[in-house]
Amino acid sequence: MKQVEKRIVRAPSRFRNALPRYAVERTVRCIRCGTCVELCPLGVHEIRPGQNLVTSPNVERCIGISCRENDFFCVAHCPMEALSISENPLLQTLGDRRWTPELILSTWELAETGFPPANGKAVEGGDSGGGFDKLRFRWKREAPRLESLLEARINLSVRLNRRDRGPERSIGLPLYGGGMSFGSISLPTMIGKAGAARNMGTLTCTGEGGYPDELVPYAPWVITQVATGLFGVREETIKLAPVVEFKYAQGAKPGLGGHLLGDKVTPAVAALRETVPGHSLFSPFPFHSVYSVEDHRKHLDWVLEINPDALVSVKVSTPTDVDMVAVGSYYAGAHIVHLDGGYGGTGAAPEIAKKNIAMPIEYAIPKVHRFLEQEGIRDEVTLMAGGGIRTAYDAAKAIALGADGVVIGTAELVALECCRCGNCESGRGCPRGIATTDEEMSCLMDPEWAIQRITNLYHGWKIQLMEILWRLDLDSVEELRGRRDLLFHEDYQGTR
Amino acid sequence: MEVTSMNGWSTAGRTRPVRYSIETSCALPRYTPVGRFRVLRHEKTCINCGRCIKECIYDVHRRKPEDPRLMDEPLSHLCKNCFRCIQQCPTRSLSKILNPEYLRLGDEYWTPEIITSTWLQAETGRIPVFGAGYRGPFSGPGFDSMWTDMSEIVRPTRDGIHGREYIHTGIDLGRKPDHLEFDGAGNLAGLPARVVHLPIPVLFGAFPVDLYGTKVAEAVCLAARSLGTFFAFDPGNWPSLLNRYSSSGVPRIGDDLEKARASIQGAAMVEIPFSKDWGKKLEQIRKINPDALVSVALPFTPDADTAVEALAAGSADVIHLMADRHGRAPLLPGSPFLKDALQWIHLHLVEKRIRDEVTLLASGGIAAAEHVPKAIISGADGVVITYPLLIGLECLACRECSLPDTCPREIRHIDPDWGATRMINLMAAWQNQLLEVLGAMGLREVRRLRGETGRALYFDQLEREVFQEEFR
Ligand code: SF4
Ligand code: SF4
Ligand code: SF4
Ligand code: SF4
Repeated sequence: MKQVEKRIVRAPSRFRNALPRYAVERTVRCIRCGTCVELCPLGVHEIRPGQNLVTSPNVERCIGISCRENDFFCVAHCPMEALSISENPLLQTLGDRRWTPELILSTWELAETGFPPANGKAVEGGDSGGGFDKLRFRWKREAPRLESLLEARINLSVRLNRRDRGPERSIGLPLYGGGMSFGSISLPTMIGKAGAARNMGTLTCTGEGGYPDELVPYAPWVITQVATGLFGVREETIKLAPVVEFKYAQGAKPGLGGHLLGDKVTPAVAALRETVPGHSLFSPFPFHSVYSVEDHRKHLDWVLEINPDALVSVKVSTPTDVDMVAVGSYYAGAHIVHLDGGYGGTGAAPEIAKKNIAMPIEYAIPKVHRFLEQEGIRDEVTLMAGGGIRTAYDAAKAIALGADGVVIGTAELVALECCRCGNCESGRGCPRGIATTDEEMSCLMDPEWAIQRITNLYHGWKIQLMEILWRLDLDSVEELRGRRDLLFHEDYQGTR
Repeated sequence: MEVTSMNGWSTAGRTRPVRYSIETSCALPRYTPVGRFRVLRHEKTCINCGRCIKECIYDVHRRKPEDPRLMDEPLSHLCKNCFRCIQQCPTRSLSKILNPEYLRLGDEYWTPEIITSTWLQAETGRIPVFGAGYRGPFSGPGFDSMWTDMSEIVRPTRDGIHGREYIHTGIDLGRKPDHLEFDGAGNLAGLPARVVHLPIPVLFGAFPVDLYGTKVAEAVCLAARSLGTFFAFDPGNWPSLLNRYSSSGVPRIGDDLEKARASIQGAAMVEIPFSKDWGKKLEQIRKINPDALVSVALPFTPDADTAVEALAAGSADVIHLMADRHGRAPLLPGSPFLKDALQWIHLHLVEKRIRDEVTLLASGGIAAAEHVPKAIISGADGVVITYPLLIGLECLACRECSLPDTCPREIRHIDPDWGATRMINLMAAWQNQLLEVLGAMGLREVRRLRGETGRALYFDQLEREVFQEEFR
């Protein structure tokens, strides 16, 4: 994909207050002597005339208990012993086991600055106690300085078409944006995703809610999704698309069709989907025209008839026989097999499905990779993995397990300051203006800002991916594929 | 029960099949729900500007009705954790912590998440749906170490949840002999086995009336009757007022058969505890009521396999295997979890080729909707629950109930109709979730799920296959 390089500039938070990691308490014993104001070089303390503030005004700048080591540690120098610093219990209310508070804050920071944190302490993943969170790399060498890394010319591009027909296409990063429909997310969010794909030379996907006109300028970077509801699927948008994605299933609700609850079906959404406003939309499951690989092939033929230049991707989730499904998709003619694991997902999904149905992506990737190898067709198909990829590290781990690249969803929303509160499914949708179609909420976000935030995230990941490859002594991301020997599992740490 | 007959088809002169569906209606909570968060406002720094009122779309922040110049206490239980007020307050006066009361709910098995989700399902009858993907741990003990399968492309799924295809959630209780016998004239020899059909694979366990009172018992009766399922009860302390529900009741008979004679006579199923002389007791019950199914209840003991084998080879109709409240089988070495203990018994019967002769019910640790299909995959035909019904009545799972009338939720004083609606709502939500799971797997009926371990994915197995072998 052509890349329209864009400058990485700071895209500060839309909100006034950052979430502080630490709580700085000042008791009434404070005599406002100003010692702490002078001492702290980070500018945590400030005394404003006429105000008797008990908490510090710039508490998010505080570096916490570890400041103890420093000469300027305010707590030790306060003559009245009026100061104390502690972990902020507020953070316990942020995030969850998969997306820990630290991971959310660090993703926000990446999206703000476009660079990994300077102290080298990147957050690798979450605290889910399994899968990616238990896999670690066997590093070969130390991380380099940023300048040497940029000089090293590490190749991150991934070929999407490995078959002998159709045009050559590749993406500049081993990742692209997953399908989120207009309706589940707001228009500025969609534009943010598409603009970032353009800036970084990769792709994004419409999801199943149709193709809003506002996306047309980004058409070379936009995958059109055809899902079981066939909402908004039109010949023109198939013709526009570099890749057409068939969504057979999705990880967050495997075996179930898409859900868009009535509240979110606004007139604009309904118009695009050619449905009635206010009525819940449940996509059927499965495609009632596909009950075999042969039926599936007809689908692909149909797309190629309309747009012979399109690559075809098949999105499936991860049942016990996911390997068979992948091979079947290949034989039906797919260029890309896109596995969607259960632990990702953005839109509305029943809790029971998210937690219980089908296997996590960490198991599906190596299973499919090995099976494709055994069939002797591994190098004729591009394997993309999504559903639970939160960081550049997860992406690299997925590739080392056998994927060619990964598909990103939630992380993009977190880049737009999603706090993972999970309210996107109903009512007016996302209170932070991301996954909503409510007019007032959608105004909380400017599309240009959204483009910059997601571009920054991808740029930060790009640097992290280059650093990972450097530390593994590899020159290109294609060399990482299937290198399970470069990983170890914390629970079965061996000698190999 | 007479309208919808055994196979779910109408018998009342109609020929059109009647779909089983559960009517729900909202049953509001009696107490302010326990929210996950507590929103804190620092009164010394708050300048009462009202910005937080604008920010919060869930109405947590309000002004004091008696003095609109001042901000009121935040209505924390309404907070949905969006951080907007906290991030926009001009004086950083707002913060939020995990609500200690929430964290105190239940225990490590009956988690606050399970309890509050049960409350919501009992209130609305709807299945829990949220955005933003899965948030929990990768896997866990017990039922959390398995995933159910789904179908795609090459195996048809069933579009059941929105009613576009009918998926049957009913089960049959009773013996299913593997062959029929005919006499010389070609007529059926002996009576065909008696089978009772329940439209959902969930039965209600017994609620001690001395602890929870008559109103809870009546709610259970009403809900079971309306759902078409059974509830168990102890005839010893059963209020005679509730005898009118006896056709849905399963009396649990202790030693004194004579005293329980009346309740045996009126019952479609009777339960006895397993003992050395179970055969004799069974005979006696059959004499009193030849039509009643007899269920024999036993915990998972080290010799439960042979005991169950004898029961199945003998003439028990139903075997009820009981784990503890946390789904453990403490009498077995290593206290395995219900799913493993069940599988052991199920496979033993399969090996002896008598699995289809009896019905296996399992109880203990069935806490959430997904546990039903998972227990069935592990080998049960159906499950027996009590605790989730109690939690549906806003129980806090604080276990204060060992002393009557110390219950902070005054469970004894509920309105039976309200209680029944909450239980029916909960079962409606569970049934819909069962439909989701069955539909995803492409199964047309829950009976096909029994023992289908091939349609489940197991954490230990996948770890071994995918990681352990690789990363040795
Ligand atoms: S509702 Fe919450 S979880 Fe959903 S997108 Fe918005 S901030 Fe994220
Ligand atoms: S926004 Fe802050 S200062 Fe204003 S009323 Fe709310 S808590 Fe008080
Ligand atoms: S965090 Fe969000 S939901 Fe909670 S009180 Fe503040 S604005 Fe309301
Ligand atoms: S005392 Fe009441 S609230 Fe507590 S566990 Fe018992 S029934 Fe539930």
